[in-house]
Amino acid sequence: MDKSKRNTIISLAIVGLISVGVLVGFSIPLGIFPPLGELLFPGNGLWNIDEEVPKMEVITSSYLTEDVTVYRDQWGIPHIYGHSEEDLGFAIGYVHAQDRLLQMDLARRSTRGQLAEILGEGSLADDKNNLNKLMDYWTVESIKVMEASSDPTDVQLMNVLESYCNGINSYIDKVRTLPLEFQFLGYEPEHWTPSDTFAFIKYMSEMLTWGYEDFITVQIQDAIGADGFAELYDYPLPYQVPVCTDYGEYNDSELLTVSSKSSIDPILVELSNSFIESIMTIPKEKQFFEETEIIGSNNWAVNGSKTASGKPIISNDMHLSFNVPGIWYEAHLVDISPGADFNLYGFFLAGVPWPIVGHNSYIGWGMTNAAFDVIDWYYYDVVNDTHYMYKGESTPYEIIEYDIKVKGRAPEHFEIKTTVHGPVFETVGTDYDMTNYTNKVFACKWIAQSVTEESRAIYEFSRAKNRDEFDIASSFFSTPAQNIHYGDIFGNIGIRPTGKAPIRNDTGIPDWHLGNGSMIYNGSAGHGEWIGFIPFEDLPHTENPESGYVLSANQISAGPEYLANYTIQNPIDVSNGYRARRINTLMSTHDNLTVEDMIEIQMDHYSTKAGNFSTYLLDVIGAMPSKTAVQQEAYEILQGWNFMQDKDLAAPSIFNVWFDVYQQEVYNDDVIYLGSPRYPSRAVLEWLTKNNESSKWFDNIDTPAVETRDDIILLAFEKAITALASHFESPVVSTWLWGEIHRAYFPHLTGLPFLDYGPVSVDGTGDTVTPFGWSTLYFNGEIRPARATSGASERMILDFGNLSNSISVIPSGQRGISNSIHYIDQLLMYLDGEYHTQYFAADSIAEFKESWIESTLILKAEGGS
Amino acid sequence: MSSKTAVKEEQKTQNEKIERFNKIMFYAAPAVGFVIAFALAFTPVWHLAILAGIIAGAFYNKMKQGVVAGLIGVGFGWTLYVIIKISTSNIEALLNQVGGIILGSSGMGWLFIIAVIILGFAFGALGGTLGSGIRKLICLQKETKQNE
Repeated sequence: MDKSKRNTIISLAIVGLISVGVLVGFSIPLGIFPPLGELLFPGNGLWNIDEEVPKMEVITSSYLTEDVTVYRDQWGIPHIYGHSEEDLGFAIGYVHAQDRLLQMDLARRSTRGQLAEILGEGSLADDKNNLNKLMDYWTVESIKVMEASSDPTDVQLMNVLESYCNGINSYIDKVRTLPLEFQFLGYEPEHWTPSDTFAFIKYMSEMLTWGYEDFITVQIQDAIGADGFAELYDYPLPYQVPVCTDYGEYNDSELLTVSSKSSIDPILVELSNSFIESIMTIPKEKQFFEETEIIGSNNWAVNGSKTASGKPIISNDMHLSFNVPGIWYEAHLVDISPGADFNLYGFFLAGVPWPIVGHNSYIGWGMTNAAFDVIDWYYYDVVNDTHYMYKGESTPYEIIEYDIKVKGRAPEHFEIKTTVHGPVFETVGTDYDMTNYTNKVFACKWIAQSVTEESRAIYEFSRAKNRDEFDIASSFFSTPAQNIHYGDIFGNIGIRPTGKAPIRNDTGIPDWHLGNGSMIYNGSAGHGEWIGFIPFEDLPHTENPESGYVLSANQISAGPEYLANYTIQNPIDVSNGYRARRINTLMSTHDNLTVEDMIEIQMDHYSTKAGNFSTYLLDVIGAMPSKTAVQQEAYEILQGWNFMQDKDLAAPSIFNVWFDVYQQEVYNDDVIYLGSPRYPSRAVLEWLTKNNESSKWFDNIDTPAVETRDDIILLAFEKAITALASHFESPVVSTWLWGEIHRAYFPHLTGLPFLDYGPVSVDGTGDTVTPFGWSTLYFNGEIRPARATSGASERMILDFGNLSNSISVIPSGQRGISNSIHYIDQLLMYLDGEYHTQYFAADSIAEFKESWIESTLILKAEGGS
Repeated sequence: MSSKTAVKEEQKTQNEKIERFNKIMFYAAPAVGFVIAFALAFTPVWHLAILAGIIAGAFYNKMKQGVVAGLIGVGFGWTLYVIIKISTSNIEALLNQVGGIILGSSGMGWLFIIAVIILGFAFGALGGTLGSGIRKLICLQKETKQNE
């Protein structure tokens, strides 16, 4: 072989080897990252993601009976025109998948215990925990019942649901490149099934009703005694404006300070503390355990007597955790077949074909969380691995089995034991240490662990044309219980806390037990059995009140006359009522209301709390014998404050930090440090401040002196000013702007930080009508700026004088694709207090103006013209 | 004109033609590589970029020329693709986000754009080297056979 040939072969071999190395190197995953070639190179991954939907697209499907036209407006909101419910269902499924496929898939996987399949071993504990709640089990059971039903409405509902699934799956089959997150996670979504939609509804129920309040009540009562609990946490709650106003008013003259209850059995306290310690090792459950006051909402309706148009206006903003993409998806559906009378605009969960709130041409409705107590925890004496004691007999557990798929390894077999009440929680939590109590287990009974028919309710809401039809639909709504308010074009308004509220048999419970499902029960003894539900017609409600308005903001459901018969809320779950009080004030003092007025109210950030506490704070500062320059400036700023929690003012910084310190100084020594996991309601502190300046709670039990209210107010002021001056590194109080320490943050639902939005300075607090949720600003002398990650998850205002005036906005955008123009376009509007029109008057294809169209999707029926 | 001169003249013309052809090929090869690489950039098989380089390189039996042809062809093919995508979509935002996820720092999307273009040139160079090398080897093989 000559030299030239040999050199060429050597060169070729070297270059060939390098080439193969490069090809392989870019084709294999690197740790958590997908193959870089498939992600980054032209023609692949990122370059092919459809950041926007095509301007014009025609899709043919054999599932359709006639053609469907989908116009998207400038916010990417679909306006869907079809000839049947099924065709509309197909189309809404298709656009949901186009815009929110990852969100849909993660929600169903989370509820159904399938996260480890895509995320690996690290998510196995979450999957077990979610399966243990039996959400998947009861999803499947609910679907079975619905499929077996011969009720014509159920049959039609299932037809629409099937079409919806076909729409989603048509998109899954067609999509060229999956969104970025799928590429990072390295999987493809499976077909959507009706069970997945039902699972989504269970997911909402978990979000809004799951909790550990029964344990918290035990801990509080153990920490401060039955009298302390009665005074600080139990009914009657001060300053409550009931949701339903037909059941009397509360007398705020005194708090209950004496309880007939005895001390809790210490063994039970230890037992529940051990269980809670275990539960707290699971981040998701820790969140459920901790106070989640912001998971609330506002809604109100005014009738024609209070509006300029003479017709009702209703408003709703549901408060949930922020995420991008947000939880709600807006859409407009119109049946254009001859004689059809179906024009619907609403806020959907992507994964559910019917809106949760919205309106049609006749009626509209909105929701706030009613916080019914629908979960009870029971403890049992254990006989052995297979049996437990129940009413004096050794009873076998029933076993539910799962094989959980785990990425990268063989499936994990998982068995769930269930008692007569519900699933046993014995293998959750990484540090589950019940070694002292091997003879006891806990199980829960939860409303979502049953066959429920919320899908029937929301399906019928969309089609209701008057209050009677809406009530019939409401009777199917089991969970999560909601204060559902209503308005219609006929001039009616109303509100009803709606959902299944269990009635317990408290016969034989121990003396220390508060009953009504508020504390853990002895399951072996058969205590606290659910013996029925409050009949729908007995749920409190208010229709067309003389006041001309109804409202709810997670406050107490009804007045004392109702509570004399039924207790439906755990007192520690009832909101402090500041938002309700403010809305009530605005409603009662305003007439000739318009949509613009409603916008102002939704954006209102007046602090009722500050308005009520500041007098006492100012009196104390005013009485100080001498003030430093900083204290004097803070005093003057507070004196001139109008109690607006404005991000550009310094007064909210002073007040909110002061309030944090005040609350801590009042309660830490004799409530929190003794073991109570929650502060009493701020309204209780308001009551004590106004009515009992020498209350024992103001005394610091760790000092020899006996402190009173004013001592603590002053101490808190001094600490707050010192901490603020240190945080802002400036003695100039006017520079301590609220927006500098109060910011909202909108995390991406995967937790990937570079897909988030924020932080951004915002007005308000958790107690203002426009809410932003955070916990504490003041920690041991330091200010930690608030990062609000919850608040209004949508804003909707419906004008029944002219439904075309109706407006709305969501704090994200329609598309979950992170480089789409519709990823956060509405979030920016939301932060500026802007809304968009719904184009509701466009009730036919011809009515939807050319200039409104951003893109067109034609879904053609195969074989059609 | 003698027949010898005529043959020489013909030979000269022939050589000029070949030279012109080679010259055209010299410039055409990168163009061919460019067109193929650009077209293949719209397929999901990114590995084919090396094939585009091989084809461009195969116009030469000098490996240095092959490297240049492949490098220019594929490099500019990918560059054009990137330019078109950037000017017609919001891919830059996506690259910034991915930059954040992978590199832990926002606003690094440009780094990926540069990296992709550089890798396009590199793949072209590798392919060009292979293409021209293979051709050279075939030519050498032919020469050896003729000499035998």
